[in-house]
Amino acid sequence: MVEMTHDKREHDDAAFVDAYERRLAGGRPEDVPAAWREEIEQMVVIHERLAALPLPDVSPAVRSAVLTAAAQAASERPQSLWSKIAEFLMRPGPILATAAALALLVAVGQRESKPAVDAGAVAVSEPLAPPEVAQAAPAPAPNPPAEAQVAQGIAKEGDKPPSPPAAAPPPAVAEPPPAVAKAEAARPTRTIAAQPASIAPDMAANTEPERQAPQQAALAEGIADDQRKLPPAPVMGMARAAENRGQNLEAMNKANQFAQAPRAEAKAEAEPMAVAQDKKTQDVAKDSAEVAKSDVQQLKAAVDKTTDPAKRKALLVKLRAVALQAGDGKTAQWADQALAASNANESSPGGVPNKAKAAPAKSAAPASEKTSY
Amino acid sequence: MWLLMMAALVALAATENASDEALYERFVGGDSRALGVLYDRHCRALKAFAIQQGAARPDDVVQDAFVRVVRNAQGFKGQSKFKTWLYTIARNLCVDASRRDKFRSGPSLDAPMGDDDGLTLGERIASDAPGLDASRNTADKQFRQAYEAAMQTLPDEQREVFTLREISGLSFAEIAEATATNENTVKSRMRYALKALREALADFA
Repeated sequence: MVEMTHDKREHDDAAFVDAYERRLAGGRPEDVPAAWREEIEQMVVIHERLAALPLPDVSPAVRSAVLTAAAQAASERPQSLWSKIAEFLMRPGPILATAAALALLVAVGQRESKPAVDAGAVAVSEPLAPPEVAQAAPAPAPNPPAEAQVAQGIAKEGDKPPSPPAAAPPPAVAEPPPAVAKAEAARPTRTIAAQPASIAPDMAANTEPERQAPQQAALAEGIADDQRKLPPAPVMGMARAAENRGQNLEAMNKANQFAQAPRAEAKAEAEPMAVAQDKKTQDVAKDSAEVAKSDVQQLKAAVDKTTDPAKRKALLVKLRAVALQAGDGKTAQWADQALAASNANESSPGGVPNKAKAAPAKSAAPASEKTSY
Repeated sequence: MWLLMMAALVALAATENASDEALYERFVGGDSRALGVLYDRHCRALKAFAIQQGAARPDDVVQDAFVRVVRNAQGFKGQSKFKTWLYTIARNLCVDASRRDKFRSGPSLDAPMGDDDGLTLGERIASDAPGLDASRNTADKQFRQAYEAAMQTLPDEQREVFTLREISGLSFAEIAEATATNENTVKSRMRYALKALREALADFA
């Protein structure tokens, strides 16, 4: 009975305090029970006056002591992982290192983004290309496989700018067989460089060579004209087909250039050798002619000095031969006439040499030969 | 530069408006400034509580309470509010101080004088005695004297509950936790303290 009275009294006290708290929290006086209203209103006034009193100040030395203790404890206490990470990251070194790493990543990303974007354009555009364009895409010349591989290797070395040409395919485009179109559709993500080598045998068996030559020429012209233009999205597949054909043509041209290069080099090396040989031959001939002329002069002097008819006849025969060898026709003719006069003197009855005949012959010698003597 | 200043202002505002528990968690994580904010937020009410508890050196109670908070960081599990924990520490310090003061011969500078103005001995020495601050309101002075006198007439339990509720702002549940008492008992003590103070301060109501 006593406990129930005590509990009832505590419950009553709690209700009173709750009403007082509600009134302090902004409740209206009418909401307070009438039995406690006057008492609670008086306590509200006391509460307001008490709240107006200033709280006591604390000495600044206390604050300093507390903060010093806090700093000391913080230095002794093992910091949390996040605090350590934050403190480490806020140092200049990690900030600079992180900035440099980010800059490097951005640079590498930009460098790799270009081929990736091009490859992505191929992968997206090829399945969406119109059937006729997709069929016209692979039109490589019937190259030998080894030559095609060499050409692919050359084309991969990046001699050509990466931007695809915007040229539409030429009007005269041969329609490949449906098998090629199926191959195109079955490999939507293949790379451009793999196209000619992979489907070249099929195309070689099903294309008309006489119609491919003008197509390739037209393609080469279109690629050369529009190489720096960026193709619009709807013609990406057409441009890709033209680019494939252009790559094939360009690879062939490069392969031919590589094949012809040794010949040109050999020719360039052979030309100086031939010139030198000719010059050497000319020099030898010139030397032999000069020797022959010298022999002609010596023989002619010997003929003039010789009085023995037989010996003179022999010298004239030799002079004629040497003059013919030296190209001196006049001396040869003179020697021939002198030899004929000598034969005539031998056949005459007086046996006297016919110097009158010989003298005109001697005088008949050309002025040039006279001066050269 | 402007972004940094704005970020600093936002961080400062976030620090000032953060809860006690969040600030203390930041202090445990290594942020000493968070404890400064906590100190500025509670030091004066804590000193008032220490004065009402009869502490001879209320400033010492405040300092010792916060130093214990700093050194016993692992003892705070977050199961109760920081303010409850702080006042529990201060209450225990006041109990220990009152036991020591029984053997003290001289008066304390921080203890209330218990005379007409309710000031401590230290405050009276620092002021231009014998007069008080000229700007102080006479009515407030009279009310303060009457209030201090009425508080001295209250039993310790009632004075403790009233101070924790009216001055320190603890809820009844927190007071019950800090004093290890039933909440209804706390409210009953509050009811009797209100009744006694209303009767003592009827002239100011």
